[in-house]
Amino acid sequence: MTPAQPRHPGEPVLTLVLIAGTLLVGREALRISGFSGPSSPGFGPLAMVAVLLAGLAVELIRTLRHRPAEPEPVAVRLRRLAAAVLPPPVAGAIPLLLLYLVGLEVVGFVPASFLFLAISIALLLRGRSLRARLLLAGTVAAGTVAVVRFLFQELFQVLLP
Amino acid sequence: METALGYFLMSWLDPFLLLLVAVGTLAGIYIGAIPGLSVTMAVSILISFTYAWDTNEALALMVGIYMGGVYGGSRTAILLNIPGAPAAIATALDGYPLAKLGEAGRAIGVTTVVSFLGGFVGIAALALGAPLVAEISLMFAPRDYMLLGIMGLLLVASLAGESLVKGVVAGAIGMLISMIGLDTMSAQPRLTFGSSALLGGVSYVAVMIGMFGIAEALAQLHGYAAPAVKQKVDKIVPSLSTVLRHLPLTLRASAIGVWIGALPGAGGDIAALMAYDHAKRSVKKPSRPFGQGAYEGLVAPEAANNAAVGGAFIPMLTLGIPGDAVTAVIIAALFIHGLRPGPNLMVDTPHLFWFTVGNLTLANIFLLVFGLTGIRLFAKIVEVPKAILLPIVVVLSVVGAYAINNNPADVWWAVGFGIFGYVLKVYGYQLGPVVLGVILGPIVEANFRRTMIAVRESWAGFALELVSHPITLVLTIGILLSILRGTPLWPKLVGMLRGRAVDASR
Repeated sequence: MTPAQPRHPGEPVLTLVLIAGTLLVGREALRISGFSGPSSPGFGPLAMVAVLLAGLAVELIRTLRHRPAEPEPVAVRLRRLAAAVLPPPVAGAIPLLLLYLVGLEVVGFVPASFLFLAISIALLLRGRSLRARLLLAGTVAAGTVAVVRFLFQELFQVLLP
Repeated sequence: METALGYFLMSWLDPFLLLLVAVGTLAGIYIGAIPGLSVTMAVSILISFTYAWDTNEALALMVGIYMGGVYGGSRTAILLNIPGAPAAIATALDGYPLAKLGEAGRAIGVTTVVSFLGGFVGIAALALGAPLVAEISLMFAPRDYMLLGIMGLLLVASLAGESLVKGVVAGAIGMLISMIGLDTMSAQPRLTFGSSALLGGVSYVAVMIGMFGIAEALAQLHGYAAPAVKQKVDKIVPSLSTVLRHLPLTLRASAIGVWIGALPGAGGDIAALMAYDHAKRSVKKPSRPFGQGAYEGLVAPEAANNAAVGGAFIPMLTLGIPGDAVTAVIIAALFIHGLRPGPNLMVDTPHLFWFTVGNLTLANIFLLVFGLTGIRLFAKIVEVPKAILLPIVVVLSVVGAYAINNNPADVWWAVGFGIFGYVLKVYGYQLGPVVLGVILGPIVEANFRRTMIAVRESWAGFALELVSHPITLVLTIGILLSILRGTPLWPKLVGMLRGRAVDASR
């Protein structure tokens, strides 16, 4: 039995974004071989697009049906959305992660990883003074980079980014 | 027979392989025990590091991690009420109340021994059942593989997550990802949006690392600051009488574990929940009421989830269909090492089967040894704050993604799928079906097209094919039931059937 599902904050918007993305993929799938036959290379992608659109339509109807009885002010809705999807640690981690990837290409693995680890750990650690956090974060970051470099490059013979 | 025994004992007699199984099991126990670090995550990240390795060495390590990880999740479920792995969700129901009663040590001891026993039942089922399944599977036609793939996706979609619809959407996303690049049958570019960089497709390992490593790390940032709880754990080896008292339930739960594990797409988490439910129904006089510290509530899920490991290897090795998310990752590893799991695996590479059985047996023995020792070290590792752990997971994921092809693009793919997977996860879409879709997509599509070509693209002929053979008919009915299970009709149908059964018994 399918239990009653909650409606997540901003779910109709996400469903609409997924539908838009699926339509874009559908247009690309249509270019492969059109509707030329079930064993053609384009049939699989088109079939999956159809499954996705059907599923997402069901989800959209469900989420729209589960609207709150009394509409909440936009500010409250945005706050709930931010808390559910982008709480401060995640909102900070995603740009930091992207910067890390850029750093890997610009300065290489060791400095980029050290900085990423040190900054993330220092920001995430709580209940300590700034100096203690920086010291611990720096030590852990240096230790981790050294171990990863030795373990993977020397022992596993894996090239590092 | 002698050759099989030789393959079985390969890791037992080779000190390096023996060490790898031991290290894998130990690492698995600790990784599985740390909330936020799943076995699937560990194996996903690990396979990219083992490309340059010999296949046997890579497999020895992975099997150890899998076996240890499924068990390791129970530790934190008991001590902190946080299951270290999904397979330990049911364990927390009675495990944590036992810890609150001061019986954490005894509870860990019991779970270790029943996990060991359950593991053996699963391995025995694999050793005895897989050759039989492999022989039957030689009779499988392309339509049967297509149906098996669809069944796997539907099972994982319906049993995990918020709804069947979300599971199906997730599976379809995975299948679409698998279709990017040159078509294997016609060499025509598909879903590349005109980019030559996409002609080679998206590396499924990058998808796995993104979904299980980075997405999981981002999801774990919700409430990461919760302080680690310190626990005192004393003597844990259980008495023989305790083990014997729970032996019948252990065996019954192990049988459930093997059965569920062997179903394509269903793994230890579902097996554990079903075994817990079985214990609740079948044990009339539990040691304490269920939910308040009943040992039976620990024994059943722990025996079942470790038995499911052996079970999950049956469809993986014989049909090339993953039994759960971890075996999906192991299938990817086998492909990378040039092996093709499926009915011909036992003919082409018989050593691989008995070698895996030998590794699982060895890992199960190490599980007992490491499970009953090293508790103090364990307590220290579990206390490592997530603030330190999660950034390290991200760095390991990045290194793993780069190691696939030494290509920075794979790192961007992994991070992109990680962020996408995180959003899906927050909105109740499970990531298991996405990854299974990526693995099963090519199997389902290629076999669908072969079937269609065989019936000259006639839909009527295709429909007839679905009921043309007893095996096919069973699979078709299985799929229809899986779909029905996710609709509002299912409870009505079950209620109607139960009503009739009650009427008939009067």
